Amino acid sequence: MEQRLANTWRFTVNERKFIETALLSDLRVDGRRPFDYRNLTVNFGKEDGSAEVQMGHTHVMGFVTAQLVQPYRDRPNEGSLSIFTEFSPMGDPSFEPGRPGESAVELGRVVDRGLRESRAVDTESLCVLPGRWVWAIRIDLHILDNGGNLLDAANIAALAALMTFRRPECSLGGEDGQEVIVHPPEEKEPLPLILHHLPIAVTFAFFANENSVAIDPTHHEEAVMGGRMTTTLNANGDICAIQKAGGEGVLQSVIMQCLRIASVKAGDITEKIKKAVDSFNTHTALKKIKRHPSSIPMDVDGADSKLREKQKSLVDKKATIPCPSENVVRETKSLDQ
Amino acid sequence: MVGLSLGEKHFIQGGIAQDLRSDGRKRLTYRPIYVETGVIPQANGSARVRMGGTNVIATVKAELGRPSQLQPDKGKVSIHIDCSSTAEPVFEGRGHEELSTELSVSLQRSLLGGKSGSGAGIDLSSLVVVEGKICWDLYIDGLVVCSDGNLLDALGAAIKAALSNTGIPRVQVASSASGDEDQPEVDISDEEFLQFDTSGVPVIVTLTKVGKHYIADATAEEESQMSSAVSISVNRKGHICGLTKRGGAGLDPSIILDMISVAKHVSEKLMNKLDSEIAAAEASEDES
Amino acid sequence: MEFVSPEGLRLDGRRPTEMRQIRAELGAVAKADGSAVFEMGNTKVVAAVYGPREVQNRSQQLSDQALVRCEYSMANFSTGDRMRKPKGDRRSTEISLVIRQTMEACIMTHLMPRSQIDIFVQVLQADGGTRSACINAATLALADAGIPMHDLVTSCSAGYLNSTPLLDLNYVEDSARGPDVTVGILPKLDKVTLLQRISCRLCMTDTTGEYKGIRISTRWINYNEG
Repeated sequence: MEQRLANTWRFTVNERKFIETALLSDLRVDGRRPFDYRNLTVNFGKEDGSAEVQMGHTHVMGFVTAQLVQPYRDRPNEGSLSIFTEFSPMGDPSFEPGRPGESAVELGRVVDRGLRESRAVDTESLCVLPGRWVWAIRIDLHILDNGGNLLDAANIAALAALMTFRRPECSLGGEDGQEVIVHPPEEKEPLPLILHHLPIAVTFAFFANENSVAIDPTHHEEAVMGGRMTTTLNANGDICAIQKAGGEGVLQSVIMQCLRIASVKAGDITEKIKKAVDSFNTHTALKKIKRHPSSIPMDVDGADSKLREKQKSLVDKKATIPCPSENVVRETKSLDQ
Repeated sequence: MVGLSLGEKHFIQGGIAQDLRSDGRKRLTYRPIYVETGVIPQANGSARVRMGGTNVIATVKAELGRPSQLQPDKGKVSIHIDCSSTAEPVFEGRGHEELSTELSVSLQRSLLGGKSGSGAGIDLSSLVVVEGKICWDLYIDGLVVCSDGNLLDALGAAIKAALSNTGIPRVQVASSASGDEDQPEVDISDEEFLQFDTSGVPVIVTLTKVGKHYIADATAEEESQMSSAVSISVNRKGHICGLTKRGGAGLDPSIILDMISVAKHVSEKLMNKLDSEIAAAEASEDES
Repeated sequence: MEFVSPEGLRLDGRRPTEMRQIRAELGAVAKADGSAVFEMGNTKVVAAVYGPREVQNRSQQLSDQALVRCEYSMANFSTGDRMRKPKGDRRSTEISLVIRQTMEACIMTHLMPRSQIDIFVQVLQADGGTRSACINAATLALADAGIPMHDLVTSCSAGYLNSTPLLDLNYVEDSARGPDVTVGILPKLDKVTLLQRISCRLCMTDTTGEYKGIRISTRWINYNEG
């Protein structure tokens, strides 16, 4: 409750007017046009399943972890996916430590709706032993810096973290075949999650005067805007979720226009995320090669190509046919140079 | 919270002293009671009771469960009261918890028997399906929608009405011979319902002491002037089932004895009024 | 599961673009400044409005507009299985926020600076569409309290099952996990203020049907107010 006030406090009438009038002539304070996104960079941590997203001043970190738990009684053969948000007071003085505030809950729920309700993550493949053990995937989203439009950034962070996450492989053993053996990553290569599609959140800000619309609002624009709409779409143009929680009323035609713009933006962002994830994956694959420098060159080639072949097939899910090993070697070499 | 001026306070206190309260009632008269039954179709039984501005809903839900090991021949009943924030803005968030707990505990004391389960208004042994294995768990939920004083009496009345509205499905035990360890299989009929015997359920009469006198069915304004209040639950036989006292001020034992005899007298009228209201509500529900 | 029969009727006998029976009653909570009960079929909610009044927590006071607060809660007995959740879980926090922002947009808050308006919504029975019912009830309660508003927000949900757009989903249809949307519109201004869509696939084909339904409810509410 207090959070929404803190944001509007320090705004003078002049500053408001400046932003609003600039928008009338399709200008924004940071030099973008109304339907431009800020620069997006996606970085990855050392471990699997951690991603850092920077969008303008907004800085969000996503972590994915998994745990073996008992499934819900009504869905015995499905894993679960849950999202937790952490608004650090470091990101914005208006965030208070402790219980998640309203905006934190809304952010979590919208990301959750985009990912879970649209069934982006294949939860059935997370089942180990029906009714007994399934993987529970937990996504933690940390807001490190609030420069506006946390939702889109958090959504991208969640996706990037999910795409790079690897869960340990496990198999059933024991006397009755009911015992779960979790293989450490040294023993068996960890498995990536199966993502059916990538739902991308695109946020629009509506301003009171003359129905101006802007995409990806900054912190300052958020303080001025009258309403907000977040649309979650994937690259195919399927709408996964929409959240427009009250605020300024908008004509139906404007909403349809926004959806069309959003589907284009969703395509662009998907490309960017995929590129970032690909380069991360090749990077980690390369690291693994360098781990055995003492081996005989001939052997390295044989063993490594196998390893890389595996990596490659994990990276590129579409490539169902395993590529010839020489190709992979050449590819990595060219990347090396 | 009721904010009253000095004049208003004097008016209320003076009126009570002269046996003419601000809404025209005498000291021991109740406000008109309206009962509606079957207001929540999803529950096994439900009732809404209105007394002046006070508006409460009580529901009864029955679920099959296991009896506790100490009392294998008895079902379980739990009472839980919630105060909706619609009734009073201070109930927002966790603000309602104190009052909700107080009401829940008072009602449990008045309506449920002692630890052994004997003497309860609800016949717990009638809830057993298979001794030690299956019994009905009754969940009684109360909700205060609007509060204008005397919540306890209204909730007590609503629970009584809801219980008499409750139909518990008849249960057929399919295979009781299949081993001692297993839970026997049961077949729940969705046509035949057993009615409850609610004649033993007491009514609650709260006497609120304002100044030198005590009044029945106090409104929120009157309650703000109380020194102490005694809630007495009396059953049809005129026996006292529970007694709770709220408010810090001390009472002379002789006043309590006096209150008890008055409560017994008032409860008789209240019980009759309530029974006829419940019957009327049931009749109108059957018609519609 | 089949949600629309070959004859084009739904499980409860409605046609695809037919709403459930709606009923509204003003002044259900005697103590509140404004209150309403709103029923859509088996869904039943009570809303109470307290205010405009003095701001309870001074630090929250706004010098140029009224402070609007909202709390959504579900009664223990409102769902089929008895709920044991405490107040203030993530879902109800989000719905509180949604209702608050929706109502804030239609209340003329600038007319009541330094004051506070509390909206409390209590779900008595949940049978799908509680979000919509809550918003409709809150609108009526605000109107009953005589709070100046730009327009009466009306809300309704719609879904898409068995390749048929369905208006005003009930619990069974809602839990089929098909795509569904909740829309809140300002009918006189013809603007959408609330829009929530859950689940993927298919575009906005079902909005038209829903629009029609909301019209009906609007007319009904106007009539009720008059």
